[in-house]
Amino acid sequence: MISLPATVLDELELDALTELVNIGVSRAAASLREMVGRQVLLSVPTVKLVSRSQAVELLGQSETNRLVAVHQVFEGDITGRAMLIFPEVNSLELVRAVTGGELPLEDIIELEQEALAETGNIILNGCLATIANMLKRSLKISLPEILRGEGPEFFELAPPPEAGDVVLFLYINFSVSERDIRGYIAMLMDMPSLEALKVLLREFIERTTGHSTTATDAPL
Amino acid sequence: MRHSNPALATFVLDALDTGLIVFDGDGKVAIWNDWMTRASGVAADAALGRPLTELFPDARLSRLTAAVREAVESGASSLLTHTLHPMLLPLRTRTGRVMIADVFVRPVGEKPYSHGAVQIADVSAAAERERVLRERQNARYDAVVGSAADPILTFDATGAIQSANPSAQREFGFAAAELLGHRIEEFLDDAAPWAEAWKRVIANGAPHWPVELAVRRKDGSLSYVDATASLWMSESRAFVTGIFRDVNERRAAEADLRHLNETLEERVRERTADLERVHEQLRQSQKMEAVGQLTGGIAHDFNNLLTPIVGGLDILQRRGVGDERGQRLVDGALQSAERARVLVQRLLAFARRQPLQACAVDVEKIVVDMTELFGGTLGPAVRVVVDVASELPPAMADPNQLEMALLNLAVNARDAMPDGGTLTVSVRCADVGPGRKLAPGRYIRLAVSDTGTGMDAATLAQAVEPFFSTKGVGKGTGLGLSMIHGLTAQLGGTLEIASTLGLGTTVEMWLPVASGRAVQSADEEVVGGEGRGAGVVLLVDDEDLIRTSTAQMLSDMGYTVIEASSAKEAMSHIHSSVVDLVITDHLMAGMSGTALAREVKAKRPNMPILIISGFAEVEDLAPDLPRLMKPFRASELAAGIAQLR
Repeated sequence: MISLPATVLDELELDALTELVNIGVSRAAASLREMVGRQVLLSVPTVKLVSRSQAVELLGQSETNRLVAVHQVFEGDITGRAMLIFPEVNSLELVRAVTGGELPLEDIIELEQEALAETGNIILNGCLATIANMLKRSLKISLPEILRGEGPEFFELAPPPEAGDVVLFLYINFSVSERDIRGYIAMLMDMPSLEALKVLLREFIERTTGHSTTATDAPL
Repeated sequence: MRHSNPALATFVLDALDTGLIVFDGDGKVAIWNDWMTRASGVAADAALGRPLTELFPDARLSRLTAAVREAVESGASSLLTHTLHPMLLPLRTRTGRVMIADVFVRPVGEKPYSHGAVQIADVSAAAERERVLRERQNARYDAVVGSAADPILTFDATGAIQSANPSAQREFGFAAAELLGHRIEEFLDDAAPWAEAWKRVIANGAPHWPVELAVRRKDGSLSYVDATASLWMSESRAFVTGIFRDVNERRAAEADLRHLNETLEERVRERTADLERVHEQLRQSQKMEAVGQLTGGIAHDFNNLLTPIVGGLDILQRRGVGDERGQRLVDGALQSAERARVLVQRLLAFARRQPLQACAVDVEKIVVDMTELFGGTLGPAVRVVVDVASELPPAMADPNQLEMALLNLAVNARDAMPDGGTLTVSVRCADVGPGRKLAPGRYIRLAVSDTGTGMDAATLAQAVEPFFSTKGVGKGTGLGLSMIHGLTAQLGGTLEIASTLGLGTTVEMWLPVASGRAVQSADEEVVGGEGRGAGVVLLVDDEDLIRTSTAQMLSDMGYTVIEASSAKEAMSHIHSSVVDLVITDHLMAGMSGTALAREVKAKRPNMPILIISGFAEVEDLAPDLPRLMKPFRASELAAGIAQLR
């Protein structure tokens, strides 16, 4: 029996996670800004914890076109896959934004794969490394890989997780060179990893606030 | 890595065809393999224990060092591609060329990680090959798209512009950066046709037939284009390329044509009106011609009828026939006959059949002389202005008739200004080009303008018709303008009348410029006399009545008269008799008076000859022959004879 994902992390823990991810993408934005030499804004307005089928549904509701994803595996106290997902039609805009916009269309098509991989790598590393650092744990994170397809395929990659898994679904807004590109970060984890994350988050909250709290007596 | 010989690991690292740098937790170099030494020119001994920033102070290494730190601190792996990081490290290939490299950063060992590894892959060959392929493709592409005269835009599947050729930038006035990422709808006033075409292209993928679009240029003006679009795929990605053919010129031509069509009716109307005007002019001139012919014919016959009447009455008066009462009746009849004679004169003038003594005339002198005369005639309420251009050439005209015409016009003007006004007489020289009713050449334009009541269009149209008069009964003959019309036409000029009701009238006489110099008109006022004559007169006339009355006048003067009813008969008298003087009618059956005169001159060069005529035809009647107009009185006949001597 698997507990409903929403109940695994309480509201305070989700808030803490959102905060961590926001710090992570801010660091990633700083890295990108330095790299492309212009203002890059990244923000994560909401975090949701959903089941895999819910994630597929969520993605299917808002995106009807083909998607592109940058995929990385993380291993350690928590293990899973992290994906930066956005509509394929936006990917050229993203590439144009990070390459400076002066390249002809044909070059951008050629360079798309590499540029996406590296840009996604920076954003995902920012999130994952920040989470690992703040939680005082080490993760081993793989090199990025590009995936293309419809939403469901992204959540059924081999090998399948041993235990039932959940998806941390994060909305991300990406703004560079007056271009706004919306996307998602999805972190697929199995239940043990999620339990571990819950423990780590609670420790983090205790460290940060200086005392033990629960969802019911969270400071207002 | 499992190995039996620790040294083996070092050999393997140095044997790798990949650059390998291992950093410790402080970011200092711990391993630097042979590949790195070869590619960077920095020996392992020099590199070990130092941070990368010291080894390559000019390189932009912040991203790399951050990636190494992330690897050690949190186990993250990073990819730094040559695409986004060209020339990350100053490396060279074995041939000495700049190396294109992808860089991978990974944590080393088990967590917590003490070291981070940086691997450097030489992708120069692949990148170079891609570059060459891309350039070749781009060159082909540029040859078509870059140099195309029509704007060509490529859109991604969302409709965002992804490329714009130079023509597009030129035609629409936007730089490439202002177009890329934008939608064409932003530049369209009416996006509906494009939206429709787009839908079809996305659905069918087939090239679309042209839709006409009005693209708003950067400067705000509209550019009309015919857009065709087609779908193409790059892997699974869809693009739409649109060609926007410039149809501004075609549209302008169409607009012109439309305008032409719209104004066609009006142009037809104008042309028709022109044609009607010309027809009306022609009709008018034909009417005047017909009236002239008729008038001339009647006048001629009247002249012939008047000649014996005037002649007979003259004799009766002269001889004092009858009692005092009878003499009064003769006087009255003679006065009426005189008036009839003047009327016929005017009719002849209108019919262009008056005998004109056309010569080179100084118009200025005539105008100045006449306007002095006007003073008394026109009265104090009329101001007379004379405006004569300097150095006018002489006009071809009959001075006496011209004076009469001027007087006539002045009287008309006065009558049009009952409350006074200004009479302007102006004389100008004007050139007439081809295509006018006048023959091309130089003309003297003599204009008489008044500030009087003017005429309406209907009156103006009839103004030159004989006996048309606006003046009350008994105040005018209705022949003034008719005479002037005939005079100018006979001289080879024309008469123009312009009038505005309430503002006044301008009458212009156009007279041809004379080739010679003006002749000082020696006043040849013939002194009428009761001249007594003596000698033999040969009188030739085919009209018995006229001949008889004329013969009576001559015998009264003391001449011996030989009568002949034809030129032929006259010639026989010339041969057989002693003749001192020949008086002959002009228009006769058989030989004309002029022809007779020529024959007589041929035989008897010194024979004085007087031609009498009621039907003056200038070209027929030789100007060198003295003549006398019918009808005439005895005194006029005597004067005509006196002229011969």
